[in-house]
Amino acid sequence: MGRTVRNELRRACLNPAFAAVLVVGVACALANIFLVAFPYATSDAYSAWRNGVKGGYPASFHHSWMGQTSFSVTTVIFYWLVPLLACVPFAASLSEDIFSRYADQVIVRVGKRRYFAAKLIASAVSSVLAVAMPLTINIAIVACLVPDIPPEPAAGTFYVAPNTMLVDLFYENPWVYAWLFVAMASALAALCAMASCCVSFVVRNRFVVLLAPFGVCAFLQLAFQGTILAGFSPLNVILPYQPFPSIFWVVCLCFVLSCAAALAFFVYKGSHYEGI
Amino acid sequence: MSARMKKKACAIVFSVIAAALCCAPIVFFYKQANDGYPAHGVVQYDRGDRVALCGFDERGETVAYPAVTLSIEGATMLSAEEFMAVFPGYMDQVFAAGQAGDARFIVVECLVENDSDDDAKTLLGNAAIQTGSYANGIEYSLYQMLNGGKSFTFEAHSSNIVYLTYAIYDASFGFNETWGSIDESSFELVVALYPDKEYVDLGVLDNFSLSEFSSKEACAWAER
Repeated sequence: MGRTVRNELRRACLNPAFAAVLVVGVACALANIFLVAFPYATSDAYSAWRNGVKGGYPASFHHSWMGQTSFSVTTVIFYWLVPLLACVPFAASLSEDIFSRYADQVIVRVGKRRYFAAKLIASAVSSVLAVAMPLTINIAIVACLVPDIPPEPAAGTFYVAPNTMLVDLFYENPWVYAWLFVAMASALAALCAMASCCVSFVVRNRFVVLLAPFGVCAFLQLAFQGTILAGFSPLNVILPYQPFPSIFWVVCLCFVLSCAAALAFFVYKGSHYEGI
Repeated sequence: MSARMKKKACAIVFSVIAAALCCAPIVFFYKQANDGYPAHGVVQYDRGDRVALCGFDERGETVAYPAVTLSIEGATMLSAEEFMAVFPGYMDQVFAAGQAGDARFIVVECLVENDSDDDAKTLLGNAAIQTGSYANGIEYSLYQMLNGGKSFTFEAHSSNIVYLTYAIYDASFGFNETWGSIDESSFELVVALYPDKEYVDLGVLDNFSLSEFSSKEACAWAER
């Protein structure tokens, strides 16, 4: 099992698509720093704010990292791209393997269970890395530029509103909150990769396999827009500044159910797989 | 030790060194970014305490006014109906726009004493009301209404009663259950935020005392 997983992980993380996705993600993260955190830290335009003139609350890391800059186009682009960043590196490889009969060759050697489990693990790991690495780089660099001053509700400069989920966590343990949202974005990425793997069993077109999770996320985003469900759209749920209110346990339940459904479908299709 | 084990040990050692090399500059620059800022402390006052206010000079720099103090005389919370009954002329913009289903209005009665020889341009206008992770700034239209257009600059050797006014709407709480127990919630009046957060613990706000508040203020408002 270990060897099969290692092999699939090598295929997932040492391919040009993974490198391209990392370049796009890291470019968004760096552009965000140059557009937001860097001016906050160095520009004369923000010196009054930095120095707390007229009783103002100075710029803080907790509204300067990529997840909290709702006004930045880089943030919007990155979070909209999460389903694509997750699927492009390796999620469509199962479809390629099946239809090129590479899968049959491997299955003969290692068995169905090992092959499909390794494929799922490698897809999930590569998608998590593709999303978590740019966010981690952004957090590390912004923390070196903007001071780690704790968020204060009365400051009026923090975007997490009192009607959003985990707002108390944001004001009590802002670092836990930040990493929790990195984990949530990563979890959505893993779910998207799993969904792509599931679609691989039924659709031959690689383009459709890659775009299916993004299409579902975009559809839910547009369908929920302007309704009370806006906060539960996957693309809104992973936004740390939370533009719409939602409920944490409902979000967790939806995620667990989606994962369970995808996993059940994958296991069923994998165990009934008989080659082409 | 076999060659394979040696290779593994080398890989682990190199990984640890690489991780340390990556982390060292982050720790260094993180420390550097934070060293220039004083630690953020919290100072709590009770209702009876006299709190020294801050102000700002011509350059906008924050200055402490030890001789300008604020003390809380009373704090009350009114429902929307109660507030409209006392001030029938007041039309709340959020309600009028249909953006909220329910509201509470908070009036904090403060005594501001300036014992110094100079006028004090205070930062009292920044004072916010807070409960849990909800905070809101002064509702200026209400402030003007109750204080007759008084500013936050206080003359030398004067004593002033100021009514700080706040509006809270149910829409601000979304799915959170805080709104359901808003009448039993504890509130704080935040008078300064940085470097130290200074706030007066108001506790659970008093029930509306119509006889003490409305008769005097409503008459004054009606006359205006």
